[in-house]
Amino acid sequence: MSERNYWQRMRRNRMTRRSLLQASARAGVGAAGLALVGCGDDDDDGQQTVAQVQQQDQQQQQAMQQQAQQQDQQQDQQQAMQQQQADQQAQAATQQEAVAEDIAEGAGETETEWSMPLPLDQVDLDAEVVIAVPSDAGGLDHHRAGSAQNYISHGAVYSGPLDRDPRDNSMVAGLATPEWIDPVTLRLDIIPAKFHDGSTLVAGDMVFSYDRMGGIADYHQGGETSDHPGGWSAAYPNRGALNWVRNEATDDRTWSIELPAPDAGFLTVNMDGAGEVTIHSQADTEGRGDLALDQVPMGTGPYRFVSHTDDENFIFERFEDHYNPIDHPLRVSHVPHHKRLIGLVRPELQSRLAGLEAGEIDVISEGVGVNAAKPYIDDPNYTVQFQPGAGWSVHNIYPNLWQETMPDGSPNPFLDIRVRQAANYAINRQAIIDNLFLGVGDMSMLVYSGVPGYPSPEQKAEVAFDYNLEKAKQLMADAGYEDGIDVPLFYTPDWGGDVVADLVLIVTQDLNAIGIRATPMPQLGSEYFTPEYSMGRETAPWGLYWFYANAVPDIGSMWECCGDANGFFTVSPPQDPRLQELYLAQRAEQDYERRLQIISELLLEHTRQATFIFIVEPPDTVVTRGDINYPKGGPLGNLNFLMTYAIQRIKT
Amino acid sequence: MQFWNYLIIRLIQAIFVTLLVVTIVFFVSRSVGNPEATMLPPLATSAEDKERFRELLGLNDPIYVQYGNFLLDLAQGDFGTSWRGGGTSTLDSIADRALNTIKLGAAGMVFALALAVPLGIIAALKRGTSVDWLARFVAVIGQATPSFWLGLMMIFFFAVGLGWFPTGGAKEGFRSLILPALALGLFEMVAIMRLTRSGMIEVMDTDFVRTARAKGLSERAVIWRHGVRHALLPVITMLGLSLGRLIGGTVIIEMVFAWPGIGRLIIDSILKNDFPMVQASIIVLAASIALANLLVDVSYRAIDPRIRAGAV
Repeated sequence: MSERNYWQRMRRNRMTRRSLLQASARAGVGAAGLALVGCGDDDDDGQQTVAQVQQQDQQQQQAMQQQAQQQDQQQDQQQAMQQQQADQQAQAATQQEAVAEDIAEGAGETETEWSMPLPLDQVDLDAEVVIAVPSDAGGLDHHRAGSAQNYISHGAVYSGPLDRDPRDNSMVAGLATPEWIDPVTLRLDIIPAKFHDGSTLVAGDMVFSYDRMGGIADYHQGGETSDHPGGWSAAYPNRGALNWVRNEATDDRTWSIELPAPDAGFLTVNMDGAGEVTIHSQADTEGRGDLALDQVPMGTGPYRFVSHTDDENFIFERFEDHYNPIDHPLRVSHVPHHKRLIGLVRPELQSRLAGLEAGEIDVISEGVGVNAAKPYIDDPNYTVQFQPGAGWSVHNIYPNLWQETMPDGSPNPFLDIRVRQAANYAINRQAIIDNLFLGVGDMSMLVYSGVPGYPSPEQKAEVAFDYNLEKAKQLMADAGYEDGIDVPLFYTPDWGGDVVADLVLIVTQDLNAIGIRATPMPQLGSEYFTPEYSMGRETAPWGLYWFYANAVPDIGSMWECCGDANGFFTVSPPQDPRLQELYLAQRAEQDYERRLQIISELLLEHTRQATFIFIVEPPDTVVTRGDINYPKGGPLGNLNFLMTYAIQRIKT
Repeated sequence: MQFWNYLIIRLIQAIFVTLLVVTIVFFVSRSVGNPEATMLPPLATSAEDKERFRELLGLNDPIYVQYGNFLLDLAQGDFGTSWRGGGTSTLDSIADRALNTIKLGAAGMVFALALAVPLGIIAALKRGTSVDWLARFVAVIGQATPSFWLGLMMIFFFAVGLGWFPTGGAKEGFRSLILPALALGLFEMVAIMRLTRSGMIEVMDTDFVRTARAKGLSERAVIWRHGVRHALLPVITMLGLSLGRLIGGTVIIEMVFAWPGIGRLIIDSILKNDFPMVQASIIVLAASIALANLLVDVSYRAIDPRIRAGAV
């Protein structure tokens, strides 16, 4: 009964808040006004000046000429060579048609025709695209702590050694092509990509960037002699020297790294350009200094930096000499499909949505939940995409398994697998997904579903915990906890979006139903991630810990923080030999496909052992104006900057 | 001489109040904030790196040493450098934003005064009529309406629905200013209007007004020369307080309208645990409110001969 009451209360709360806004707005504005503003801006009829469009035109002209030549050939048998060329072209065209069909089929599978880019002749390549950005870190030096959170900026201006194929999230060559020489030695061939200042990338820039990222760059003594008045400390020190015993440029085009031990996850953890790694020019950085770089970034990315007004906007312009690292439908062009990209800083969601409706904003891809997007789903003036496994919103609860006893001296009940299983069976995930996420979402696992090696839906279904209250109660009784357990549940209302507070209440109620009497204990994020709470294995209070946003590119980085005995997160899975064995096996396995299989098994085993209380992985949500084609980006979603790259404004 | 003594005492009080506020902010922010948790990736940074980061920011010193250093820098006019990116000094950032906040606060105040004073006077003179009733109704509604809600409604109605104004930001100059100024000024408008009305009602019943009428002065002269001048005394006091509220109140309005002012800077700095910026912003805010109150007190002496003549 209490569950029904709870859901009723949840519905009433959400409806009240939303309906208040909507009803008020409608009363004031009127449906006609809203419809009018949905018409949007007219597109510019600018000329297609992009290099690849010209190439395309030239190719078309060539094809036409060659077609004419074919006709001549039929009339003139002496031009047999030209006929042969025409045949080859026809064959190529057939192949292209086949590729187009593949793309169309792919689009069908993802249940939206917006999943793939449109042919470039339907797109305004000189358009401006405005993306709403919730906050501004001020600085733009991605290597510097305090400046590193401008994801739009770093993804636009910089690129990394490796990239992601949006189709399956696998690693592909970016600025570098890796090759394992032996289990610990990696050689990377560096492409001669252009920096925005016209200089050419060399292997020394790679070495320099990693030194700087890790806080050990010589030129400013790891930041100690930096010219930055706010000080300079590395934002990603873990990307630095601890990972290797040798890091050097053999020549301008060859970069060599030697690891202390075999680590097959090294590439995905440390070289993922879609995540945290950015490559800077050594000459530019040393020449201009840290402060200048923090204000005017310069890299090899798809956009050249134009301007930044603090807390107002970022403006970028297409970099025409950008390299094209992978052959993929999303990159039918080697440069972005629009000319200018503007990040408009709008802290409030309602303000962002108003900006979208007024035509000031084209895309909202951050901080918009499923429910906020709901009013736009059936509106032809907008498109709404739900991207499962987009990497920002995986919700789990970790029991503290590092402490043998509870505060009263009795054994830690969560060390008993039956209690963990019971907790998992008690969570009504489908109700959560239906009521909070419009029916879109899935049970979470250790990592988000974008990580390579994530089990298939069929494999996952075999180990998933379906809601079963009776079974949960029986497991509690079997474990000797018929009278239940009192346990604090620590969580961060300011991290993970406004849905966290709702989720905590629901889960608390579900757990209470089997006697796990969880008391929600909100903590500020800045307090939560400290040794006093989630990062002190021996010192943290005993209890359950909410864990959110496992946006990590590889199982390795997740494990090292939370799964490994040497990790630093308070809560972690039990130190089970089978789990350890699988983790080490995937780390040593350098065959990509075999490694994925091991990772899959590792994740399945985690679930079998109910290492955590798995809650849900809701979808990432993107809302755009109707004249925007936002290509669906595969498992990495918004983490993958290919999405921004391939945003298109449809010609009207 | 008495005036100068008064001024010096009030100045010392203002400095003391500002310092007290900043001290509280200094200790409170350090007791709940944790910069490395917000500025470094929480799951990918070792304890040693966090320690090094705290050392860089001077957070490993005892709190009293940090406070001493802070006061020493302050005495030298050094308000510190923001821990956010960009490398700007806190004062430069505040100066950039202060202009926007002052613009917004002033526009809100102009709007509030331009409507409140005439409406208050009319309501008082037409006491008990439908005009008075309407004015009081507007006052109740205006004071009961949360500014963030009003701001959102204005955005949806005037910006989204009618397209007259931008939905946020400051890049369109005067057009960008109108909606946030209206949303900000409405609350103050109704408060000032009610005060003007009650002041006018009280003054118009006094002996000196009756005397003025008995002298044969025109009603207009009675109202403006004797009535309004006296009725506005409490309004001026209110203005001083309103100025503080307008500057402080812009926090919410600046968030809703994405207005790049001090309020947004403070919120953002608190969320990012940017202690130097929070401290500097609060100093500027507290000092400006203290200064506004001081100006009000001084102007009181200029307006009211009784205060000028009496003991301070």
